[in-house]
Amino acid sequence: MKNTIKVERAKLNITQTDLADAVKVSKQTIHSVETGRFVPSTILAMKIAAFFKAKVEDIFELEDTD
Amino acid sequence: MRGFKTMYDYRGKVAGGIAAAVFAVVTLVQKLTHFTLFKKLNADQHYYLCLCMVAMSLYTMAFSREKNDDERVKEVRARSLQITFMLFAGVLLALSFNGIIFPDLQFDGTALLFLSGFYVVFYLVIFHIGIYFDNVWQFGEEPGIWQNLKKNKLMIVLIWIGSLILIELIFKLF
Repeated sequence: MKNTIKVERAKLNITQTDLADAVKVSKQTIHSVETGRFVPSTILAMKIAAFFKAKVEDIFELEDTD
Repeated sequence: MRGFKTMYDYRGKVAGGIAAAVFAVVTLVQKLTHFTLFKKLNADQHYYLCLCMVAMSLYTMAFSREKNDDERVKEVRARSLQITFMLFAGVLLALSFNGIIFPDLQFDGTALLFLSGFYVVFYLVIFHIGIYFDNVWQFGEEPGIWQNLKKNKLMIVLIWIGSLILIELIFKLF
Protein backbone atom coordinates (compact mmCIF):
# COMPACT_ATOMS: atom_id res chain seq x y z
CA MET A 1 0.00 0.00 0.00
CA LYS A 2 1.41 3.35 -1.09
CA ASN A 3 1.03 6.50 0.97
CA THR A 4 1.80 10.20 0.76
CA ILE A 5 2.69 10.77 4.42
CA LYS A 6 6.18 12.04 3.56
CA VAL A 7 4.75 14.58 1.10
CA GLU A 8 2.08 15.71 3.58
CA ARG A 9 4.72 16.08 6.28
CA ALA A 10 6.87 18.17 3.97
CA LYS A 11 3.90 20.45 3.22
CA LEU A 12 3.37 21.08 6.95
CA ASN A 13 7.13 21.08 7.63
CA ILE A 14 6.84 18.60 10.51
CA THR A 15 9.14 15.74 11.53
CA GLN A 16 8.33 12.04 11.96
CA THR A 17 8.55 12.59 15.72
CA ASP A 18 5.93 15.38 15.59
CA LEU A 19 3.53 13.14 13.68
CA ALA A 20 4.29 10.18 15.96
CA ASP A 21 3.50 12.28 19.05
CA ALA A 22 0.27 13.54 17.49
CA VAL A 23 -1.08 10.07 16.68
CA LYS A 24 0.47 8.46 19.80
CA VAL A 25 2.78 5.91 18.19
CA SER A 26 6.58 5.60 18.07
CA LYS A 27 8.79 7.34 15.53
CA GLN A 28 9.90 3.94 14.22
CA THR A 29 6.27 3.07 13.46
CA ILE A 30 5.80 6.25 11.41
CA HIS A 31 9.06 5.49 9.59
CA SER A 32 7.87 1.93 8.84
CA VAL A 33 4.49 3.15 7.58
CA GLU A 34 6.06 5.89 5.46
CA THR A 35 8.42 3.48 3.74
CA GLY A 36 5.65 0.94 3.18
CA ARG A 37 7.22 -1.69 5.45
CA PHE A 38 4.30 -1.75 7.85
CA VAL A 39 0.63 -1.52 6.90
CA PRO A 40 -1.18 0.46 9.62
CA SER A 41 -4.50 -0.54 11.15
CA THR A 42 -7.67 1.26 10.11
CA ILE A 43 -7.61 3.25 13.35
CA LEU A 44 -4.04 4.47 12.82
CA ALA A 45 -4.68 5.23 9.14
CA MET A 46 -7.74 7.33 10.13
CA LYS A 47 -5.77 9.13 12.84
CA ILE A 48 -3.01 9.99 10.37
CA ALA A 49 -5.55 11.17 7.77
CA ALA A 50 -7.37 13.24 10.41
CA PHE A 51 -4.07 14.85 11.43
CA PHE A 52 -3.51 16.00 7.84
CA LYS A 53 -7.22 16.99 7.56
CA ALA A 54 -7.61 14.67 4.57
CA LYS A 55 -9.54 11.53 3.67
CA VAL A 56 -7.89 8.14 4.27
CA GLU A 57 -7.95 7.37 0.53
CA ASP A 58 -6.13 10.63 -0.20
CA ILE A 59 -3.22 9.54 2.00
CA PHE A 60 -3.25 5.77 1.42
CA GLU A 61 -3.61 4.07 -1.94
CA LEU A 62 -3.90 0.39 -2.79
CA GLU A 63 -1.34 -1.10 -5.17
CA ASP A 64 -1.92 -3.88 -7.72
CA THR A 65 -0.06 -6.32 -5.48
CA ASP A 66 -2.37 -5.62 -2.47
CA MET B 1 -9.41 -12.94 27.04
CA ARG B 2 -10.45 -9.39 27.95
CA GLY B 3 -9.50 -8.34 31.46
CA PHE B 4 -6.75 -10.97 31.63
CA LYS B 5 -3.65 -8.96 32.40
CA THR B 6 -0.61 -10.65 30.88
CA MET B 7 1.87 -7.79 30.76
CA TYR B 8 3.45 -5.51 33.32
CA ASP B 9 3.80 -1.85 32.40
CA TYR B 10 7.05 -0.20 31.29
CA ARG B 11 8.30 0.10 34.89
CA GLY B 12 8.44 -3.72 34.94
CA LYS B 13 10.89 -3.66 32.04
CA VAL B 14 13.13 -1.11 33.74
CA ALA B 15 12.99 -2.96 37.08
CA GLY B 16 13.60 -6.33 35.37
CA GLY B 17 16.57 -4.93 33.44
CA ILE B 18 18.18 -3.47 36.55
CA ALA B 19 17.54 -6.65 38.57
CA ALA B 20 18.96 -8.83 35.75
CA ALA B 21 22.14 -6.73 35.60
CA VAL B 22 22.56 -6.82 39.40
CA PHE B 23 21.97 -10.59 39.63
CA ALA B 24 24.31 -11.22 36.67
CA VAL B 25 27.09 -9.46 38.59
CA VAL B 26 26.19 -11.41 41.77
CA THR B 27 26.29 -14.66 39.74
CA LEU B 28 29.72 -13.82 38.38
CA VAL B 29 31.03 -12.93 41.85
CA GLN B 30 29.56 -16.16 43.28
CA LYS B 31 31.20 -18.20 40.49
CA LEU B 32 34.57 -16.64 41.25
CA THR B 33 34.43 -16.54 45.08
CA HIS B 34 32.00 -19.46 45.84
CA PHE B 35 30.38 -17.40 48.62
CA THR B 36 27.33 -18.78 50.44
CA LEU B 37 24.50 -17.00 52.29
CA PHE B 38 22.21 -19.84 53.37
CA LYS B 39 23.63 -22.61 55.55
CA LYS B 40 21.37 -25.32 54.11
CA LEU B 41 22.53 -24.70 50.53
CA ASN B 42 25.98 -25.48 49.13
CA ALA B 43 27.99 -23.24 46.75
CA ASP B 44 26.64 -24.92 43.60
CA GLN B 45 23.08 -24.44 44.76
CA HIS B 46 23.84 -20.76 45.44
CA TYR B 47 25.21 -20.44 41.91
CA TYR B 48 22.05 -21.92 40.34
CA LEU B 49 19.90 -19.79 42.64
CA CYS B 50 21.67 -16.67 41.33
CA LEU B 51 21.18 -17.85 37.73
CA CYS B 52 17.51 -18.48 38.50
CA MET B 53 17.17 -14.90 39.79
CA VAL B 54 18.74 -13.61 36.55
CA ALA B 55 16.24 -15.69 34.53
CA MET B 56 13.31 -14.42 36.64
CA SER B 57 14.42 -10.81 36.16
CA LEU B 58 14.67 -11.36 32.39
CA TYR B 59 11.20 -12.97 32.48
CA THR B 60 9.79 -9.79 34.10
CA MET B 61 11.56 -7.75 31.44
CA ALA B 62 10.24 -9.93 28.61
CA PHE B 63 6.63 -9.68 29.71
CA SER B 64 6.51 -5.93 30.24
CA ARG B 65 5.17 -3.33 27.86
CA GLU B 66 7.34 -0.97 25.87
CA LYS B 67 7.29 2.76 26.64
CA ASN B 68 5.29 3.31 23.45
CA ASP B 69 3.50 0.02 22.99
CA ASP B 70 1.85 0.69 19.63
CA GLU B 71 0.45 -1.70 17.02
CA ARG B 72 3.82 -2.31 15.30
CA VAL B 73 5.37 -3.34 18.64
CA LYS B 74 2.42 -5.68 19.24
CA GLU B 75 2.91 -7.27 15.82
CA VAL B 76 6.65 -7.74 16.35
CA ARG B 77 5.91 -9.20 19.81
CA ALA B 78 3.36 -11.64 18.38
CA ARG B 79 5.80 -12.82 15.70
CA SER B 80 8.70 -13.09 18.16
CA LEU B 81 6.54 -15.16 20.53
CA GLN B 82 5.43 -17.36 17.63
CA ILE B 83 9.04 -18.06 16.57
CA THR B 84 10.12 -18.67 20.19
CA PHE B 85 7.20 -21.01 20.88
CA MET B 86 7.85 -22.95 17.65
CA LEU B 87 11.46 -23.50 18.70
CA PHE B 88 10.54 -24.25 22.33
CA ALA B 89 7.84 -26.79 21.44
CA GLY B 90 10.13 -28.35 18.81
CA VAL B 91 12.99 -28.81 21.27
CA LEU B 92 10.65 -30.23 23.95
CA LEU B 93 9.22 -32.69 21.41
CA ALA B 94 12.74 -33.72 20.35
CA LEU B 95 13.70 -34.21 24.02
CA SER B 96 10.58 -36.27 24.73
CA PHE B 97 11.35 -38.36 21.62
CA ASN B 98 14.84 -39.00 22.98
CA GLY B 99 13.31 -39.80 26.38
CA ILE B 100 11.17 -42.53 24.77
CA ILE B 101 14.04 -44.00 22.73
CA PHE B 102 16.58 -43.77 25.56
CA PRO B 103 14.69 -44.46 28.84
CA ASP B 104 17.86 -43.94 30.91
CA LEU B 105 18.06 -40.29 29.86
CA GLN B 106 17.49 -38.06 32.90
CA PHE B 107 17.10 -34.33 33.39
CA ASP B 108 17.60 -32.39 36.58
CA GLY B 109 16.24 -29.01 37.68
CA THR B 110 19.25 -27.12 36.31
CA ALA B 111 18.50 -28.44 32.79
CA LEU B 112 15.01 -26.94 33.10
CA LEU B 113 16.54 -23.65 34.26
CA PHE B 114 18.84 -23.42 31.23
CA LEU B 115 16.04 -24.54 28.89
CA SER B 116 13.56 -21.90 30.10
CA GLY B 117 16.25 -19.22 30.53
CA PHE B 118 17.52 -19.74 26.98
CA TYR B 119 14.06 -19.17 25.47
CA VAL B 120 13.44 -16.02 27.53
CA VAL B 121 16.78 -14.63 26.27
CA PHE B 122 16.04 -15.82 22.71
CA TYR B 123 12.66 -14.05 22.76
CA LEU B 124 14.15 -10.84 24.20
CA VAL B 125 16.87 -10.77 21.52
CA ILE B 126 14.63 -11.29 18.48
CA PHE B 127 11.92 -8.97 19.85
CA HIS B 128 14.38 -6.11 20.37
CA ILE B 129 16.03 -6.69 17.00
CA GLY B 130 12.51 -6.50 15.52
CA ILE B 131 11.53 -3.23 17.14
CA TYR B 132 14.81 -1.31 17.21
CA PHE B 133 17.23 -2.61 14.58
CA ASP B 134 15.26 -4.35 11.87
CA ASN B 135 14.62 -1.44 9.51
CA VAL B 136 14.74 -3.56 6.37
CA TRP B 137 12.30 -6.20 7.59
CA GLN B 138 8.96 -5.88 5.81
CA PHE B 139 5.97 -6.60 8.04
CA GLY B 140 2.70 -8.17 6.95
CA GLU B 141 2.04 -11.39 5.05
CA GLU B 142 4.01 -10.42 1.92
CA PRO B 143 6.84 -10.74 0.90
CA GLY B 144 7.31 -13.64 3.33
CA ILE B 145 10.13 -14.67 5.62
CA TRP B 146 12.56 -16.00 2.97
CA GLN B 147 12.60 -12.75 0.96
CA ASN B 148 12.97 -10.80 4.21
CA LEU B 149 15.90 -12.99 5.27
CA LYS B 150 17.58 -12.33 1.92
CA LYS B 151 17.12 -8.57 2.45
CA ASN B 152 18.59 -8.78 5.96
CA LYS B 153 21.83 -10.64 5.12
CA LEU B 154 24.05 -8.24 7.07
CA MET B 155 21.88 -8.43 10.19
CA ILE B 156 21.85 -12.26 10.04
CA VAL B 157 25.65 -12.39 9.68
CA LEU B 158 26.00 -10.01 12.65
CA ILE B 159 23.60 -12.11 14.76
CA TRP B 160 25.57 -15.28 13.91
CA ILE B 161 28.89 -13.67 14.82
CA GLY B 162 27.37 -12.24 18.03
CA SER B 163 25.88 -15.61 18.97
CA LEU B 164 29.19 -17.43 18.39
CA ILE B 165 31.05 -14.88 20.54
CA LEU B 166 28.38 -15.20 23.27
CA ILE B 167 28.52 -19.03 23.25
CA GLU B 168 32.34 -18.92 23.36
CA LEU B 169 32.19 -16.48 26.31
CA ILE B 170 29.64 -18.63 28.18
CA PHE B 171 31.81 -21.75 27.75
CA LYS B 172 34.94 -19.86 28.81
CA LEU B 173 33.25 -18.36 31.90
CA PHE B 174 31.22 -21.32 33.11
